[in-house]
Amino acid sequence: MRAKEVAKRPVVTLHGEDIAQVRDIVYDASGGNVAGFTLAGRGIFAGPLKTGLSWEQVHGMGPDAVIVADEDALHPQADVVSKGAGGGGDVLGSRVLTDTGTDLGKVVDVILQVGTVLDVVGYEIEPHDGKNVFLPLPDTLAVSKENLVVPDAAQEFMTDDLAGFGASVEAFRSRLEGERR
Amino acid sequence: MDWWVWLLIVLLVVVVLVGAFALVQARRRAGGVIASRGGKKGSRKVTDA
Repeated sequence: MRAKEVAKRPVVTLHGEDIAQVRDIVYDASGGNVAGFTLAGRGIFAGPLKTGLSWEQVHGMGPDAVIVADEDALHPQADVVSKGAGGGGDVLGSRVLTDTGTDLGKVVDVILQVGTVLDVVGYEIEPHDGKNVFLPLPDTLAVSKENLVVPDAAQEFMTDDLAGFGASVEAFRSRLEGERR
Repeated sequence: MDWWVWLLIVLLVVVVLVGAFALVQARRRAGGVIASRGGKKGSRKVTDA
């Protein structure tokens, strides 16, 4: 799923209470997973909340809502977002460079895969020319500042088809795994 | 000016202010994908509906 599809998704308790909506997806800069979400209130006049939702508190994640056990699942935002060195920047709009120095374009969306963790499996990139493409990412990837550096081999697994992107990610990660052995 | 003109102006100002506030809040609710260092990681399997 695309990260932009997750934004604005309501956060609902198992009792059916609509307690918040997703504002930001918090990307753990030390790994390749989503650490949690920052939240906004519901309603036309509501603004951002000071609470956040860590991934471990998520009970279920569907196409229409994020389910939590109850309101106690929400914690102070600082527990979810740590804007230390290398963190805090918006990934969307960042430039993607390969480790050999090729500029692939800018990130317009992040592709997520729900499992044991909410894995960041790829970027949707707007190249300097042509239509958007999906770029697979390794299992873990450091994210910082305005440039995102990816392995050069990822270019070979780029696709313009989101439906077949899962296979590209698996093939790319298998290759990296093989190279490590 | 007649009283109703003043009333109309006041109503108009209120509507514009409420609209502007709602617009600002909508922008503040809009998010993105932010990089964070040292956020918590989960370890439970969740349902992908």
